[in-house]
Amino acid sequence: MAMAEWRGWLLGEATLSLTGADPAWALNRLAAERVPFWAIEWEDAFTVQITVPRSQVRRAISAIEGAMCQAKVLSRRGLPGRVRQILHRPVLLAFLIFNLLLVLILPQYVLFYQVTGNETVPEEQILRALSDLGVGFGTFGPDIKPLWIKNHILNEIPELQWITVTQNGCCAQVVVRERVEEPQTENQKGYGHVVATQSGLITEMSVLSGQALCKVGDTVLAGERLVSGLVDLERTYTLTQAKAEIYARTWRKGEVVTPSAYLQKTPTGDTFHCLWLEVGGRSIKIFGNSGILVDDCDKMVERKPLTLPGGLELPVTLVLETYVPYERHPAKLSQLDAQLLLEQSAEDVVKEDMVAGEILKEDSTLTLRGGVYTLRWEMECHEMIAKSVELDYSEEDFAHDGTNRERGANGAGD
Amino acid sequence: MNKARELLAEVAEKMELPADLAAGLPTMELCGFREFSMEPHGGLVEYDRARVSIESTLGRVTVLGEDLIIRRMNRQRITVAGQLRAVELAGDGHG
Repeated sequence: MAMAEWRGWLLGEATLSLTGADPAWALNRLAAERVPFWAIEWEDAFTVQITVPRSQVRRAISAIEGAMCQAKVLSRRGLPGRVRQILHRPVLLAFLIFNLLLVLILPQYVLFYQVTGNETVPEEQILRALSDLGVGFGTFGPDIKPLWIKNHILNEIPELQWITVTQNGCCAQVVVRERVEEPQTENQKGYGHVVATQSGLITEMSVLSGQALCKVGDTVLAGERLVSGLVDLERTYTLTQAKAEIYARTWRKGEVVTPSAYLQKTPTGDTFHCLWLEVGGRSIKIFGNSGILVDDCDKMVERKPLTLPGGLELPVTLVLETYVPYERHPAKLSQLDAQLLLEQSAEDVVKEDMVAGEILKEDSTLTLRGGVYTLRWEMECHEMIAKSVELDYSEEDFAHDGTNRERGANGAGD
Repeated sequence: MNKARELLAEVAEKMELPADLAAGLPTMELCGFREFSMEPHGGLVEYDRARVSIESTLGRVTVLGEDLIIRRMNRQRITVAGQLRAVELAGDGHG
């Protein structure tokens, strides 16, 4: 029965009502004319309901009327009827066809990209490199060749060790693996001395290897050898990589300058906006003046990408540009501002130059001459002055008698 | 049954030929007490929930019972279903 129902739905069927003095005669006529019918229901002695195929309705009615009965179509069912209804509604038909094409065609194009596996390399850098290779919004999926992409991207981004792109409908998964940097290890086979980077008074000393040539409390000059990589072992000498942490109190001085006059930006009070819609790589202006020159304006850009629930970003972004015009007026830098500015600059210079340490005291004088502020500064610092250099030696280094009397209290090599 | 058909039926019986093919005799099938089929048939004569009469080459066949329905009917075969009680065969066929 279920099979018959399916067949009826697929091919279409209609329910007819026969009314007459002898409905049996009408059924005999239908059978004689080979009109298939089924589901015969006798409502009363003069009325019968039957079901006939949709394509045989006219023949059935003709045969029934030939048997002096009246035929009335009660209902029509089935797929052919539905299809006919849709054909009479062109907008619905067009919508259905459009959706069908979208379902069949759209998944072949990649619209979204998800990058996974990156830790230090920014996602935008990877996507931009892919875009340069022609893999971006709207790329035809079968055109994406993972091996070709890998060979090119790894040249573009050396921090990556491996990359692949797999398509899953409209979304492409970009899986990367970053190159693991080898940890820097000490060159155990190298030889070198430790010298002073600055002149100063040694306050702390810790020699890890090598022969110490100074001690706490000594005054050293910049460039002076503090720990030697040439170790005197009484009867012989040995070479090593001298290593030490030596802190000293140092005195630095210098000067920094800045002009006293400058151009100050003053906003005019106006604000202009320009709204763009970015779809894929194209920008469509919605409103605003895009011809504003940026030279006399501060420009702020705010981007709001359209995001689906779940975090999937669509390649549709609303871009709001805000322009604030300003005028430049000459202004004078006050003495206080100049002093603060220059002192900060001097501190930054010293801290950048120090390997490690701190500034203990500072003293400065500010002068103004010829429209230029000059700050002469002096700083007392406590810093690490040990620096490793390549080993070099001369005959003087072998002038010892081998008894280690030149070795300092904190020396190594025992 | 007319004489020609009688003669054919006798000849078929004596020659051990299938009488329904040789003499056009109808074949009736009873499936339990719930379904009655006949092939070939000469048309539906009467229908009632308790009585269905069908014409055949041999005469009229009447199916008696309760809640009788015509399950299938085409030019050759007719099937009556329901709670069957009796099948009456009456001679004087039109064939």
